[in-house]
Amino acid sequence: MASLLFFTLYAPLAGFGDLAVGERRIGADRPNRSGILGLCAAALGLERDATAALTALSAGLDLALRLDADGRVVQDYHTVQSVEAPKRAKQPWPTRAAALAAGNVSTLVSQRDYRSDLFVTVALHARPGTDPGLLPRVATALARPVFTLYMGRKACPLGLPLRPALVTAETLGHGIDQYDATRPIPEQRVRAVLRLGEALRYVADTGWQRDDLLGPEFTCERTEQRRDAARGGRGWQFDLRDELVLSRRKPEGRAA
Amino acid sequence: MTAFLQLHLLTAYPPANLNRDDMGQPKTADFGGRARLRISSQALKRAWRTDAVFQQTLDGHLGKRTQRLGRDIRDHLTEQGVEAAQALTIARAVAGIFGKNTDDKKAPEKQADIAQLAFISPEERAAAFAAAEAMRATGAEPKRDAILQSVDTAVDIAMFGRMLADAPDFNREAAVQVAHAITTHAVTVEDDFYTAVDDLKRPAEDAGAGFVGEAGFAAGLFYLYACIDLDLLTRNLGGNTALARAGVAALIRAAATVAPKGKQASFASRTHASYLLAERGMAAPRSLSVAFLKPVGAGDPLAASIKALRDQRAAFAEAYGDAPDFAEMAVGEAGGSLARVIDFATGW
Repeated sequence: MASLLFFTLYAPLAGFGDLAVGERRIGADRPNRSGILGLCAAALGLERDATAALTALSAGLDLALRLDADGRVVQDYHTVQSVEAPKRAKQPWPTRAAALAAGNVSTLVSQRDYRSDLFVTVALHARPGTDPGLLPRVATALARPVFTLYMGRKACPLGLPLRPALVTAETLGHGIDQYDATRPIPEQRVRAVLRLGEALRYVADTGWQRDDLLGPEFTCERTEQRRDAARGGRGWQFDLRDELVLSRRKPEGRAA
Repeated sequence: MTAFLQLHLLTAYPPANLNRDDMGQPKTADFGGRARLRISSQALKRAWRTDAVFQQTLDGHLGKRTQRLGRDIRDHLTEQGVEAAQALTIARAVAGIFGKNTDDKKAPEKQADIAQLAFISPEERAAAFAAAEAMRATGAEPKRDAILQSVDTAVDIAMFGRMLADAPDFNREAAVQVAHAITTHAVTVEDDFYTAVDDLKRPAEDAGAGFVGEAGFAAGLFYLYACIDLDLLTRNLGGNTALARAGVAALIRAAATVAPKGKQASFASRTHASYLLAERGMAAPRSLSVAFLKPVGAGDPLAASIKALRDQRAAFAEAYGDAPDFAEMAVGEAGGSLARVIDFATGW
């Protein structure tokens, strides 16, 4: 039996990034690992420079996602009034008004991808050897977070309460079924309007397979590489990571 | 745990093009499978931030832009009987902390000024005067670190944050989160075909228009959501809760009364919010946008949207518990007013 933490992520607009250099800021069709762990870190109140705690969080947890709906791409044309920085500035502008007063004003253009109506169920499992208090702490923090939580971009607030729940189960599938059984009415209504039925797909960190938490009902369709393993610190640098793309077959033999 | 202030507004705009894409069309988003009109969060924030009332309300806490700090210091010193030459030397040394001194020989009245405008907070101004007094008394040269402050008094940056790729130490995490506003109902963007007439061209000569064009527009009732991390806002302002409250009040007023400036000359689509709900509590913030996942139908969209919002709030409270306290203003209903909601929102 394992202790699993589940929570629900839904937002009218979500903006989970992908490799984004230059004007075109593309987005991924599902949350990235660093995005979900960042959300947990924000709930716990970890600052961006709390490198040790962030590394421990990332090293201690295995993540799995059920993609209930991957939404539709919304491309936002975004302009920013920008100011050319002074050449040998000892200190940046103290305020934006000061920057604008100095002149050299121009426009930065970017195209940013968002996803509307993205609906994801998240599962977290503590890797063997991790502090057993970590998962319950994350669960408590998600209900009463320290920082504002959002779906990838700050302009993307949550559309439903996260409903964090610790579930004891043998496998991911058993846990997620227990979690689904306790859906409150507002969540049921949202699912009905969005016509959510069977999951589009499941993805999981390789640790779920290693720790034998997938059970026979899950088949690994393929392994995808994603560049979202945060190196920690403020460098915004990410390493490649293997992610299992799974399909689920329920005991009756029905694909889910 | 953190105290969050959540704002929910319903604002109806007549035909307008408040926020447009690279093709000039009003921005849209699909929500609940139907097309909605959208105003991006950055467009909203800029409109609020640059609003005259917002600027005036927070005057003194958004800093002062001036070249004339040195002139004030010089005059202050000469009034106290300091010799003109010495007063000028001290004023130039202190003002020089903020920027290069002017060297205009032909304009002696400007000799204490600095060459560019400097954005100076009230605290920095006070520190500059103190440094001038100290230099007069002891001859000590003014020190940069004793005068320049971090952005702790700039309410605009404390609210909306900033990112400096080249100087991450000076980054600020935004305390205010603003969602893209979307209409509570489905919207189809329309095209306005227009012609511009040449006033001096006679019909006998050529009856055609001087110019023809098309402009996209649409009207709608927007749901707008913002979430303020009150603890972070106060921290960003160096623990000044009075200033944080003043900032929150100005922000709510702006959100309820200021429209994005896009195409105002063509549409005059200025409007105030018809409904405002403020919630304060520790529970994880959540938008109430799911109230409009199923688009509000025709008839009385405002009444239906207000009802949907109230119902959604009650349904969340019942299902999840831990519901925050709230105050609301519904225009046309007795009891609520913007002032009362602001009182509630700043009552911490």
